[in-house]
Amino acid sequence: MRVKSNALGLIVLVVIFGGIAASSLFNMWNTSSEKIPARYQTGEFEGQFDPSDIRGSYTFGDINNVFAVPADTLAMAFGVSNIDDIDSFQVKNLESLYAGLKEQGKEIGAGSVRVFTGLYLGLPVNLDEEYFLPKPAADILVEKGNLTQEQLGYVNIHVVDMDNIPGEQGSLIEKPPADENTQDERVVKGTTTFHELISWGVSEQQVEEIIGGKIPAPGMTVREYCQNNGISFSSIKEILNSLIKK
Amino acid sequence: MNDKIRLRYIIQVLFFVMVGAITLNHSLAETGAGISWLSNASIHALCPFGGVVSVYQYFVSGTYVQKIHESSFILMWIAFVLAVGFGPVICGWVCPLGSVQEWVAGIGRRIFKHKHNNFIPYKYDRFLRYIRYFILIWVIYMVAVTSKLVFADIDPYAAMFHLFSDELAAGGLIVLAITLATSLLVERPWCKYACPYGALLGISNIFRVFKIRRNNETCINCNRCTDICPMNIEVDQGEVIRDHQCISCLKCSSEEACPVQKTVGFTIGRGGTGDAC
Ligand code: SF4
Ligand code: SF4
Repeated sequence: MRVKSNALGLIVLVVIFGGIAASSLFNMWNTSSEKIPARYQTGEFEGQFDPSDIRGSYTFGDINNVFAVPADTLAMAFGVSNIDDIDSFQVKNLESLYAGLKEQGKEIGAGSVRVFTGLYLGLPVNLDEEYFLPKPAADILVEKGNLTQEQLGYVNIHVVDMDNIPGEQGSLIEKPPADENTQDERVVKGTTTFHELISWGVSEQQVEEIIGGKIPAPGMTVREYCQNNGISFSSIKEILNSLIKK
Repeated sequence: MNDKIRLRYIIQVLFFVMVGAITLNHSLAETGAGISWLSNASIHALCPFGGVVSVYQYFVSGTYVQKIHESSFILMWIAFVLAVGFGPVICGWVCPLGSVQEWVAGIGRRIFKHKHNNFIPYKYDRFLRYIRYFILIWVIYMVAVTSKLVFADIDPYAAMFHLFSDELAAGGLIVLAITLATSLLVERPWCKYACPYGALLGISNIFRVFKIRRNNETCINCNRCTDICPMNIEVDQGEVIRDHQCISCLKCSSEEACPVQKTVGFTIGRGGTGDAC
């Protein structure tokens, strides 16, 4: 039997597009990643997702889905604000956001998010010497109180003060307010965490009464909690604002 | 160009335009300006070789190498199915990098006439053709060890479709430029000497179901099949082509180069004769 070129051309097209169509039918044709990181292969955490596999294409939302670190916490830790959709912020964009740091031989990027996520969750993670953490990220980790001496030492050395970040990139970076404005900043917004609320004088008990449950984690934002529990953030926000000691 | 071979050209253009449009849309989508009705897959998601280099990691940890997705695996299997039946048709009919080299070689043929594609003496050339297997082994090993697409930084295929993207790698661009420049002298230099995926698919020439066969009894020894072969295979010297470099382009067949009907063909069974389908 002989195959002529017309037939061969047709076979090529049918097999390629037929294969793609068939795999789409069975939901197997995925051209973008489902964002399933590798899992620990051995040890105490065997089978759990490994934050060392967080890649630049992961968004804050992906990390929230996989590791349950709230996107708002990540945004606050890495000083990302002024964007509409925090969930879709890709980790790799931190590098351009903090490009000015490169002159100082420091880098904040995907590696910083890997370290932060690992330490935040108390999971084993490679303390990458190359990467640094913005001050708010370091503060969150220290406040959580999970760090070993070695990790604490690492965090203290690899911290970057947000005020010292040069360059144009400031437009998306939320820098901490200057001292004299601190009082005015005591307003509940999307990035406000339970920890901040309590430090502004609202007692834990008051907060828990208002949200109708226990505070899951001090670093979690109020908005994240409301989203997870189907509560209206705007109404809760107003009640909390009225309780903040101005 | 006769009708039959025009179909190959149309298919080559189709895949070139399709992959180009999709990868351009990928870059646009990252800036929020993508076209919604068109796929915005990345070039890596559309590359069957990505599936090949991911196999090890997939079986060891159940994950894909960075930037590789299910689609690369599906395309890998499709290419294997085609290769078992017909050899490296992906190279001869589909791969946009192979096509571009062919198109540039068209200019080279006009400049260098018969000298084109015959610059390197065969005694050296036949050994150089095995370099791509070393590259294949190196790439598979490195990806298995690092879990990264190490090849992406020097891959001319990725560079060609990243020309307008910030993912363009300098190494890939240099290799692409060398490939296109040497295509003026040699047909498909990248395919012949360096492409790891071409190397892998080339193995299928040994066992593919349909093979290029020449009927000795009707052959008039004009050598036209050998002269036209872009991969410099001596079609006139054997009856069955099992050369690892054949790309199943059918240029040597009686439909194009061979002047005697049913003498060179893509067949199961002996000779170029047989019922056509
Ligand atoms: S050998 Fe490589 S570059 Fe050439 S056509 Fe085949 S896959 Fe494409
Ligand atoms: S032997 Fe024939 S089919 Fe194979 S590459 Fe040469 S011309 Fe193409």
